[in-house]
Amino acid sequence: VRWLAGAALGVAASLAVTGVRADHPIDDDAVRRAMQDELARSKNDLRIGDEPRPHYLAYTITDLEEALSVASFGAAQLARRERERVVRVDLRVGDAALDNSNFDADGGYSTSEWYWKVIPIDDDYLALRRELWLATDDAYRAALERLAAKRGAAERQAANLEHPAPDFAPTRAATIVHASERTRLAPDPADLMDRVVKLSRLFLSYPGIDDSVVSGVHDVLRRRYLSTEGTWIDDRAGRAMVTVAGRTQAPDGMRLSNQSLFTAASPRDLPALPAMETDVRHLADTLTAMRAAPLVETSDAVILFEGQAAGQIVKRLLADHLSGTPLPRSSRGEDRADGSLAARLGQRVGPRFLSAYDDPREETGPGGAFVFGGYRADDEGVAGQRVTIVDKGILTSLLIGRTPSNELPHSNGHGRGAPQNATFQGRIGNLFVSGGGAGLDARKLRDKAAAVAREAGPRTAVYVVRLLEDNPVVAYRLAHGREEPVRGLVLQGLTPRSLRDVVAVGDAPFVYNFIDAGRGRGWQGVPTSIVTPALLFKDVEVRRSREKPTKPPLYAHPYFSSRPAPAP
Amino acid sequence: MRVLPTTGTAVRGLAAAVVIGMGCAPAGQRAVPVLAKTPAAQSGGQRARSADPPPVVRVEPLSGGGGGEKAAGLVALEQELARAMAALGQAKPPPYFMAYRVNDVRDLSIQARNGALVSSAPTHTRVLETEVRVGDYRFDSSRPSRSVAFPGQEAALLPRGDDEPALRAVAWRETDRAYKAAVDRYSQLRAQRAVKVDREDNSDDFSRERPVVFLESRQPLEIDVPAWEERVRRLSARFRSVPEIQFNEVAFSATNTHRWMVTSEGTMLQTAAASVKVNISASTRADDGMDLQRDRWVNGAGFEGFPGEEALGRLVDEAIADLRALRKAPVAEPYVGPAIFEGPAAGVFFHEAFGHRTEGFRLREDDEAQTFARKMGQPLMPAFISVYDDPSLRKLGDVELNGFYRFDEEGVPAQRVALVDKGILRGFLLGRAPVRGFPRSNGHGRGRIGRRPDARMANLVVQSSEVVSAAELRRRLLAEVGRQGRPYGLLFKDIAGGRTQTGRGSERLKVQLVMVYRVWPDGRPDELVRGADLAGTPLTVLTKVLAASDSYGVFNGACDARSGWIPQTNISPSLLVGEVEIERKAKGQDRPPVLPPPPVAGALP
Repeated sequence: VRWLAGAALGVAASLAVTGVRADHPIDDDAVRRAMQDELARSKNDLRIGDEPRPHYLAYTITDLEEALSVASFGAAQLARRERERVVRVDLRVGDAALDNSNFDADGGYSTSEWYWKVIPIDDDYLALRRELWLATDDAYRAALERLAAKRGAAERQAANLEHPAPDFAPTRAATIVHASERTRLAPDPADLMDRVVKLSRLFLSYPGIDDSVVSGVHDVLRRRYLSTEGTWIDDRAGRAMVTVAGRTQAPDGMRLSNQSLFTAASPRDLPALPAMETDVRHLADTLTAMRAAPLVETSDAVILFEGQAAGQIVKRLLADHLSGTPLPRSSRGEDRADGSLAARLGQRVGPRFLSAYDDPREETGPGGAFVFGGYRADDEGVAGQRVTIVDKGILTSLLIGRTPSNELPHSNGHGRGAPQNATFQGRIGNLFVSGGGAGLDARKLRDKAAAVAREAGPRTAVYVVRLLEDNPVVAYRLAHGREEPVRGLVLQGLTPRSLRDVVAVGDAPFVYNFIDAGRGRGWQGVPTSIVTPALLFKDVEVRRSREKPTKPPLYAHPYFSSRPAPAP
Repeated sequence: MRVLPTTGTAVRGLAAAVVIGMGCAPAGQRAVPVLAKTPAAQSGGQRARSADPPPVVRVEPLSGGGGGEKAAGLVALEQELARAMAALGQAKPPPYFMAYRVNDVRDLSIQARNGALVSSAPTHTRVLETEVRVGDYRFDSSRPSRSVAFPGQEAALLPRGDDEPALRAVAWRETDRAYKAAVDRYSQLRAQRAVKVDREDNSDDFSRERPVVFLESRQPLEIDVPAWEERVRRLSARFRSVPEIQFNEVAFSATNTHRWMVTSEGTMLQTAAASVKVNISASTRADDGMDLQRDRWVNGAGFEGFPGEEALGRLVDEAIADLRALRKAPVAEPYVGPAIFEGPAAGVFFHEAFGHRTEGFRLREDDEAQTFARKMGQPLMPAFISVYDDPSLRKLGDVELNGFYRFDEEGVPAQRVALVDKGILRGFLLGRAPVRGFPRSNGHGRGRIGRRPDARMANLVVQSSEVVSAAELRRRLLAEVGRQGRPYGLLFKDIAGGRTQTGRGSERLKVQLVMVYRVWPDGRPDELVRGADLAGTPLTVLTKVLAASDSYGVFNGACDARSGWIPQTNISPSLLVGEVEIERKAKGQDRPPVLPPPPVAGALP
């Protein structure tokens, strides 16, 4: 296969065959054997002087394949395919009661607690063993240093510590080998490019939109995990995402945007092109209408979070606070707030009709929609479990991996971290929120919203929010049964306590799939899903945005200025 | 490896840490691979004393070609630029200069370790940089100021094809953004001028240059991807049977860049450049914990004349042999005394000690020590040494030079600049930011994609009007050892790279030596030592060059400064320096790996 400078897509395709040529026979077992042999040797022989041997060692080797396609205004901008293999070494010295883990030597969040590196993609036993050998050696030295520092810190802080939980929770060894047909597809940017270009071309019909970009991503991951406890996992995951973003400015300079997100297990499972086009036209119509929308007034308001915004508000008020993993012990010993709901276990966090559970074992949500957060085993090799989090408004449990707390002594299969991320933390997989039988249809929800607003006083506004970033991006004012777009809506003072102000929920759950970047810990996200109906909040303080507007474009768009203005 | 900020604003913020310091090295795995080869070395020995310039191939920037057809995409950008100038010409203040610069980069990189592929990925990106200036040539929105930050200058993705509406839409958006940022900065600079004292250097902010039009046709670069993957695997497999080398990597990369530039002054460029590189990197930890690294590299402007697998394999084997020898070598002691810099090492030494201080912006900006600003016409080094920089040199012997280009990033044709003539400072490297006494660019405005160009080196050439044979140079070293009463002299055969600081109050120099030998007066064989770093005060060292050899060495490298990593070359004869200062390299605490390497059952012969 020749690479001609004129055919980058051809190159990508040619690279697809590199691993399967005759002179490099596939040794599909090479990775497992290299892991097994180096793990056994390290467990038995790895020791410096009188220092302790590892009490636990696990390797995770993840093969990542990604195809990326980007287009704007009807033309392809990027087509990229990447293939990478990384190893993560989880090596512990000491014992389960006190080891080198969950210790923050620097006073800030540490991301170098374990060790990871990029290793060869070829299934070459010797080359892989060499990488594992050196990675383990590095991890062992680092572990010894951390353990010594942690012991030192523990002695200095002994007086403050009341019965610390152990550092490592026991679990049963497991063997999980799983791959669905979808996760065996090889990502190729060509699969999504045609669709991405076609969707981006729709913006040629929208003179009110200054800028737009459409990107498609297909990821396939294969994970192999082996621990000294005997757990072996070989599984795969895959997902496809198409993101459509439009940006423009109102005549007064306020920046406006709108976004659509399509997700599926693979490119072939995405909605058909016409359905996506309809959605993108709606996005563009909405964004165009927002340019002329009035600004909001500062007031108390009743807010209905619908669709993706419902998932986003659940993330902010609930999912982000569900980690039961204790904060790392700090070398300085200061108290830090972790934003977790741990202190509110057994207490009311929401209205009586509200319940929530997390279940990573699910692969699909309502209507068979694909959910991102499914897995059979978490990133610490523990089988995913269904966990009831909120039961009739009461917080009953949190999500936790193998770093136990006094309240949660065992992993519930939610120890998660990205392949390149060295710390595991209790994180959601698929979080399902429901109102039990109390769910209302869209019409009744709006009636309820109007009623709650009337109760709160004649100037109380009702807003419907469909897309959030830090603040609502797409919002409407509901008045006299009609929805009018508004601009500049800023939410004030929403905290996890605000969940108690939910006065009603919808009856149609929405699947919000996203890559959760976590809250300051780790720089690579984990795929997660929040499935929730619309949520109606009373008594939310809102104000008008104080963002400094920038001048709208000073001269006309080159494409639209050369064409007659479209009919209004 | 330093992580470099990508926006102008961030650069300002990190001035103390990054802007002042420069590194010029392969510097770990991320840097651009480079070449170290001494084409004339084999002919060394007893050549006649000669003041001949090196045997170079020069390419006049506007010669041979320029008959290419203008790409449709370039036409679209030309039209959009004209429309933008006309439309914004009505605004207040209007732009007086506008430029679009496009880099269309196709890149393939392949890496392997221990015979196994780590990655092999082609990329194709086309990015647009937009420059808008308001004010006038005398005082404009680009004037450097310690209190007015530059706006971020990220490059924007362009469509990869010639789709006119899509190309122009991006250019429009970027122009509007760049114009607003320029107006904003210009008004801040004007407000500041009202309250600040005058600058020392009252040069214009932007030089006036004659527009150039040059259109090259597209040049394909054919790469047999699977064949190169196999070759890189096989080269790196030579490390499989070497247990003591812990890290190794063989990296191949090929880049084909097509560049467009269109300015409101009438400049229109369409140029093509290709590069092919192989970088071999290996490191080991000595028993006392010292980390030792060896990098070898080769580059070319295409596959013609590029070394074959056998020659590349020899480089791998040499790296292995060097590291094995270094592991066993004694640790260098602190030393002050005479030393020979072989050609590539001498080139890097001049690059750090001298070259960076001739970069125009360092003579003008307030943060800088402006070392050379008042030394024009004064002697800096012995009268037999001359130094020039010439980006239009394409080859020295059969070695392609990394610093070659026809036009700089500001669209100015490359020019040869005499920096030092017979020991006297005569010139500076200049882009379009003038310096007192030097109102015009000499075609050295350089920077990586996404950075504002600065005056930078291209092909830096050190010349000597008096030369001796290599043997004579060695004889003089030993004579100097005797005269100074030192136990031995030093020979610097190879160098990893260097850093220098040019900031106010912090002028320092550091060069990482790799292959350093003790040369004994009693006739013992030269003795390899490890862990030596060259330190010192730049200007003092320059005065101590005693003699030069008759053969040139080339260090094809990559150089980093405020405007980012750029390909660059240093050429010099071997030099005898009367006094250098050697520091012992800081040693790591860690021991070699606890366990022996896994058994090499699968090792290739």
